[in-house]
Amino acid sequence: MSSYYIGLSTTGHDPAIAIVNDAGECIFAEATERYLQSKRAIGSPADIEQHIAPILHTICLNDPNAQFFLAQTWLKTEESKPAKEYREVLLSQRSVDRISHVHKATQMSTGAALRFILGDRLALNEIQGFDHHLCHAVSAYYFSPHPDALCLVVDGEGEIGAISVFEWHEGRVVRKLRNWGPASLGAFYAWITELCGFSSIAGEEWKVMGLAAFSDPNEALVARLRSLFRVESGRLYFADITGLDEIKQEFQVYARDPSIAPDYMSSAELASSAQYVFTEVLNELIDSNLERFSPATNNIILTGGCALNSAFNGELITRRSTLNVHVPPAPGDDGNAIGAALLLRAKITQHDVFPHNNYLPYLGSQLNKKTLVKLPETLGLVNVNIIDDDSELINELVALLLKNSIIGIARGRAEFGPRALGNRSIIASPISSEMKDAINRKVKGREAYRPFAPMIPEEKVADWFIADALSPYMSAAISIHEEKRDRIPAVTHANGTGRVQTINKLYQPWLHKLLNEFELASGVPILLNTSFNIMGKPIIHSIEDAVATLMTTELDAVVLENLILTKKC
Amino acid sequence: MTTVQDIQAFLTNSAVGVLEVSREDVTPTTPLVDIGMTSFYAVLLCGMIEDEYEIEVEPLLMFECRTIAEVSEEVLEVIKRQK
Repeated sequence: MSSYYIGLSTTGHDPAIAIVNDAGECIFAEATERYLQSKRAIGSPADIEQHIAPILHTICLNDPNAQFFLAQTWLKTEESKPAKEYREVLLSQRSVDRISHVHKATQMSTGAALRFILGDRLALNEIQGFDHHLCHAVSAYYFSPHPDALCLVVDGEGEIGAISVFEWHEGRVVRKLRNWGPASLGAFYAWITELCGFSSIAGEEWKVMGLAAFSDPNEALVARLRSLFRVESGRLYFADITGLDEIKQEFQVYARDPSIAPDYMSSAELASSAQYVFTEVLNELIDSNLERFSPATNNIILTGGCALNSAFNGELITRRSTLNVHVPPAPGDDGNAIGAALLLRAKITQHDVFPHNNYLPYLGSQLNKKTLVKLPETLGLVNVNIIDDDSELINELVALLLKNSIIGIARGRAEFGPRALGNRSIIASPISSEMKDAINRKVKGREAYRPFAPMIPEEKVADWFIADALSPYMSAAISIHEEKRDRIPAVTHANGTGRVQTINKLYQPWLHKLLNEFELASGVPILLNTSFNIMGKPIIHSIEDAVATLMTTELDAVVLENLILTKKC
Repeated sequence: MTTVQDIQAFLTNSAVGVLEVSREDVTPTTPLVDIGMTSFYAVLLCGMIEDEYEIEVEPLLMFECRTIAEVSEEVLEVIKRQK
């Protein structure tokens, strides 16, 4: 009898589901937002029946004796978290109430659909809960190339605090530290996000990170924000819990109400100062933990929501070239679903060696094959060009890219995690200085200042970026060589960095070949890569989502597997 | 071998430092709330206990045990279970 372990991310934001088989291989992982097409799927259960039933039915069809176990990403309920009254020290009560409500709602509702779908195949009716930060650590390790590493989980909130430190050795994990108390870099960044006029509930911290590049940090602001925190022996503390209200009040003068002050650039100085403090404190935390635990290796795994700060990650990789830094493709709470599933497998099988070195993040849904086959007959307003030969398809795409076309790509399985990594991406030439504005104006409709990412064959990264490091999950914003910036203006941010994705020839042969062919034609081995969506929506999930984006924007073409769709004039 | 007296001494020192109270005010049987123990200080002390004894304690520890003597007994039990 085969066993399958289903991990369910139940934080309340970013619900997700992951399925791990007997061998410890993740065979499916996807955030609920993709199916619902609702950003972050806030308050939704992680098991939406229509989303997961077809996947489970396929498993059962192929494996008639399959049995299932369920796990979730929290051990404690919302009520049993310690020192709840201090959660609002930086965030507004309104935000705290919302976070608390959606957490409870998701924990209450998750599992009902799975019990209905699986019936007798469910080996245990209860959903086993696992420590939230341990789920982060196990999920991050699954993608880690390093068998041994010190792993820092840094997020907004865990079971008892916002930081945990683990040590990995040959697949076994030991927790070295968990931070007690309300001090939280995630909550700090969420507070700044709200002050800058963005929404932390909507997960707009990355807008602050992008905005930070447009100003130098202000010394006085940095000093005041830095005075919030103290790092000691690997732990993070609020330096003076009684003085927090005063600082909070003081910073209210910087609060931007977007309905009154739509110019987000007025928040750039605050964003830059906060990013500076975030960087300094997180660097200090890493150093303090390295010193305290003296790991035998230079391998660092950084995960938790704060590991989505690609500006920090780039700075860490560049500044500390002796460290081997791994950031997984889904460091946020969606990624935890894999960790919960693997922890349940370990518990049931009593096998405590966890898998690692799984490179590819393409663990999500595929396009519906039946819809794809019918597409040429059903789309009246769209030209459908079928190109079965991959090389021919690439040649066609390169020709379009050289004409500055903006192209949506949906091929293979969807990426797990927040980044579009080539399988659900919009791609374009990075060479034109007009391209960034064109994509924002014609397709994405997002804030004009926000950067687009470059993707490059990994063997060429040192030719264009100052750090010769792999970044397969677009986790690090790294400085582009100064003399090269003018050649790729569409992917060069205001501070000269690019949130680079490195492409591996063995694992991503199609993308690798596309980049090489583009280089042969243009002299540049880089393409602009942004998520296949419009502002405010998640990355597309279905063929219908892709076609709707083509028809409602000025996207020039959409590639669905080996079909090229263009609008009829 | 850690004894309950060792733990009491550690907790007394830690409480004096964290709560900024005088040592004379802290005895093993003093109710923790009487010396200003709030949930904020309780979580800090839990972190210190975890660091000192390399164990993991439950968040409710400081609320279910009313005095340093009671906390120490419970910590000793956790040490025996986890080590």
